[in-house]
Amino acid sequence: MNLSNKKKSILTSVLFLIFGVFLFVQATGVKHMMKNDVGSGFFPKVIAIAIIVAAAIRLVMALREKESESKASNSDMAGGWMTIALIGIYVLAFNPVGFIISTIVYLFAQILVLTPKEKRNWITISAISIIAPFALYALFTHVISSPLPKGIFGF
Amino acid sequence: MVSQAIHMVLLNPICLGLIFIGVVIGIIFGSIPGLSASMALILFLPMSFGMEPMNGIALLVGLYLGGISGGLISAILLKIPGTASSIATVFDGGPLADKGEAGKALGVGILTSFIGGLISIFALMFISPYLAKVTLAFTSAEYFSIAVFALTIISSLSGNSLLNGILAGLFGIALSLVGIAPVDGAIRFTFGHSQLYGGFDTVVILIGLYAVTDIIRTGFERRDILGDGSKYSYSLKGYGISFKDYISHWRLIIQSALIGLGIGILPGIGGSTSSLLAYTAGKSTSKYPEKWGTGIIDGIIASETSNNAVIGGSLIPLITMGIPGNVATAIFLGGLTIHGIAPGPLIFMKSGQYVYGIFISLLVANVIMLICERAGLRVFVKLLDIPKYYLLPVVLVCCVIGAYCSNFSIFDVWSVAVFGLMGLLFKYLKVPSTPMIIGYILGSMTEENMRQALMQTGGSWSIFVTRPISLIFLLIAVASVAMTIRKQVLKAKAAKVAGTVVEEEEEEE
Repeated sequence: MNLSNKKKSILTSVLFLIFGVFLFVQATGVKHMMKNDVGSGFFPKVIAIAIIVAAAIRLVMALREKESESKASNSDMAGGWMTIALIGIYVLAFNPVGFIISTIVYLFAQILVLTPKEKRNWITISAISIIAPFALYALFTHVISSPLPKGIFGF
Repeated sequence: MVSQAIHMVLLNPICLGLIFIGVVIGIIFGSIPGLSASMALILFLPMSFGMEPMNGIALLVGLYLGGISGGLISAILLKIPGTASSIATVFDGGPLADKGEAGKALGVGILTSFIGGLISIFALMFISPYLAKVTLAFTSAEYFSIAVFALTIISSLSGNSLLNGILAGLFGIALSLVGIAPVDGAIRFTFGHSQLYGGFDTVVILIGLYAVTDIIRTGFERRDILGDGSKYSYSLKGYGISFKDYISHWRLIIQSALIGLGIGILPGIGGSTSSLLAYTAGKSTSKYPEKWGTGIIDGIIASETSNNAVIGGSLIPLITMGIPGNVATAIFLGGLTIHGIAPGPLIFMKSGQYVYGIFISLLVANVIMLICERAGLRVFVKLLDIPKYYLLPVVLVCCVIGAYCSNFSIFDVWSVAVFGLMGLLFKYLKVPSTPMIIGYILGSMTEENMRQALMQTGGSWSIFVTRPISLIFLLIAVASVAMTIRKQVLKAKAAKVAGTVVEEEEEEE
């Protein structure tokens, strides 16, 4: 995923072009309700046209850009994608499974993903992933009185 | 109203306690690289919803002030700015630490942060009532033009690519269109989802873009998570500088404070630019510019005075016109509106006690910062050792709770993850996200005022250029875009000559 700056610029322009066109098409469907008003579809159309124009200029400029070597990054694909997957699973499980259980599992897995192998301390990791959810749950339900999802197990 | 404000803040132990907690947590978030002042504000915003209005606002005040002030600790001891605002503090703070004078650098940094903050808070107290009187005469035409002005400034100044900034701003406006439209109440862009009738929640977008994105990026960069681990030790008595010595820098102090104040008032520029600008200005007006960067306290004074002076400055347009110029004030706006306090020219009449409450809270927070950051320095420095791999997952959990508690809707929790991914894509494509959030907030203001102005004139657009104040703002907007284009063309030419590509870096709050 190490695209050159030129390719990134082209991708940016194309994505915004598509979005601009999509917004314009959607905006034409907005009903005009009041007689002496420009209507709720007008401003979105203006914004859509502005996006299309800006993205088109961006595209022209991007195509004229010189290819440049982008710096070799020290990024770690596995760590990133696992983090994305964990957050995805966590937000999906948040309501049905309940705050406490989903958070314990998420924290444990996420800390494991982020911690370098030589630094892994199972006792600390387990302690944090168990104590933090209970502490937060108590804080929010009892002190701030905003209840968190209890989930299928009732806690 | 002033006496009411004193009752709500100074004579209210809960409120004072919350300011204290806010300042301390702010300093912690500000000092740890990877956590930011904005993140602290975002996380505590939903919590402030459930409090008494003044208490909630005071908490946010403490967090904002503490967050900006904490960055200097890591800028000096780790040579990494804890928040982007302290970027220029590293230039002389680092060399000072090398010389074994880290303590002096920290002491002066804290003291001058206090002075910078104090000058800007006084400016806020004296300017905003007068500005509110001026803005009282504004109609929808003026508000439309000011919104356009703010949007262009933000787009052209954040990040180095003008077009990416503009696209981000426009995208933010597009997001603001979702839900029930202003004026006629038409339902648009909801794709049949009733959860979208009210549009996206600002908190949800902020949490996604500024917290979830950062955590995912840490995942991609987990090899760097340990840092190089070297931390300077320090010894410090008092604030490390005599009163006389500090006061002898009065010209630099005032100059830097004014730069910070001005940058704060202008939308979209933010603390990091102000600290860099004040540093450059200080160096060029100094009698010994060659010493800057070798470890002199002048560099610390310039950077830290100006970034704290941004605080008062940035609240001026927010309070008098409802225009947030940076992420922190955007969050502030959320905190005010949820309690039914509408920023704008009428705020002194309708909610005067809260405005004076904000002033008093700022003053209190500033004093608490001065004492606590110094007294608790040892603890704050210790906290820098907490590994990020423990801290960030817990922060993410707090983000999810924050998103859930703002509306008790699971849809918001999913949206946070989606906005987090979107922020990641933006970062990857080098599209700045600050214009997007400001675009989102100013989008509905722009549309509503445009349509109201047009309804009054029966559809004639001339109202925007015949009213003088409106015209002036539109002209400045055009001029700022023209200047940025010119600067970019010149830079592109220079780059062509040199045969190198200028690497674009995004400004971060």
